Amino acid sequence: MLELKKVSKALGSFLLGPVDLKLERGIYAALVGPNGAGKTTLQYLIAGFIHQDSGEIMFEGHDIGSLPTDKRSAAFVFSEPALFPNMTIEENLSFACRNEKARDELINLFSLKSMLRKKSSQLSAGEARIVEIARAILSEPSILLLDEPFAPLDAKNRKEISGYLKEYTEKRRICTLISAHSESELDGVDYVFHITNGKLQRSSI
Amino acid sequence: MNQKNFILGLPTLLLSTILLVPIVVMLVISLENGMISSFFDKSFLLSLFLTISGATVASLACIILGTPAAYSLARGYFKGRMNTLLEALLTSPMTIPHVVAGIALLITFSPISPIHGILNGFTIYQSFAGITLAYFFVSVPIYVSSMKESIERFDVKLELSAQSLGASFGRIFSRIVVPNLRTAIVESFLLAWARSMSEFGSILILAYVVFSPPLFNYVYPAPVYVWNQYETSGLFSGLKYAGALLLISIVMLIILEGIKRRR
Repeated sequence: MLELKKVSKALGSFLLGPVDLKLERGIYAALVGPNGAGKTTLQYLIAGFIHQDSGEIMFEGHDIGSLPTDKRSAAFVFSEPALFPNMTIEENLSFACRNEKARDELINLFSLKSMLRKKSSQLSAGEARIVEIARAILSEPSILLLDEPFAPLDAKNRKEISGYLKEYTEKRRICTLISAHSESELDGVDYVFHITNGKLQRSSI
Repeated sequence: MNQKNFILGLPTLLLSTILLVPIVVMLVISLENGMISSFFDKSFLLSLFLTISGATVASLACIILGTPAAYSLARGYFKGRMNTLLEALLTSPMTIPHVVAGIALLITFSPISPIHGILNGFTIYQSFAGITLAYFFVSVPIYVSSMKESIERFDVKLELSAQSLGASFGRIFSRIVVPNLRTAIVESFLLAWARSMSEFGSILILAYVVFSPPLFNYVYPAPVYVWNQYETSGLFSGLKYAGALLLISIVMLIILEGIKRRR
């Protein structure tokens, strides 16, 4: 279980928290709120890109709040493109890959075969996002954090990727937390956490 | 002439003319006075070889030490005032008169300094090590500043993303940061190299003439060679060698521009 206990972070005049959040393994959850509500800040804290001023971030009973990012097993997909431009798509996927068989399966499932030899600059925003999600999955994380992942995707891809994320989360018993501006962007999530002005509320669907 | 041309166009043209005229005049006159023949002068070629090899070794050392240093400054590896202090320290030789830098290096490695004892009497005076150290001292601040700017422009999300995929710092640095900053490294290397090639003040003190057998037996660094020719044989003798050095600088400038355009 991913658990945040009274986590707070001040960034200039903005104050996030104190946030209490519990996310069971196998649950596909979403953080929903307007711009500047603190969605990305909260995800950054879980990923370890920034550190909380107070509170604890626990995973399976262990304090991960003081661990460096690479030791948290928390893969992050940014809202803006972050594929490595010096590598081909195949190399991007291999960079994170821990299981060759899983990579080949994902390449087929996400129809990435035709892109493998291309560079990220040759992909559309939607294609790049699918590759980034695949890359994050291939790192076999315990926590999967996706910041507005569906924004550049069309309705068909959104439904397919969302369906896969839900299935993968349940099957691998990981914690997946995506962020979105509104519930209309979501498909099949187990929980929705609403966040406004740095304060978190939970509601289920 | 409209107002915009008067405020922007005229000063730019004037400035370009001020900079260009002496260069063109010198190139033309040095060409008329045997500039090409200087490239067949064995002692001048040896001077050029000494300067080019010293500048190359110093600039390679800039890459090895300066790239991680620039990265640590750009990404704030050292916190708060320490970062500011280190940045000032690493770039301060740019503001030190180069003759002073030469004296500082000379005294540091002289018998009156404790460093001399630690290095077991190793001397840098009038040696290839000395000229390389002088070049490194004056060019590394330029390399670090240039690389720091490039690293600051480099998207930190790529590094964070790789971290979140479980990659170690070493892997991120070697597989993502360095390959993506390849052009910036080459550009900064050339800047450091060009700066070394033009150095005169510090080497006048530290390595006026280089004795590092078997390659260099009393060889003058190229700018010192030009100065010597000017001092001992007059303006026209110095001119042809100065023209040759200028030509090399222009070629470097063209290469630098070519790299910038490829970015």
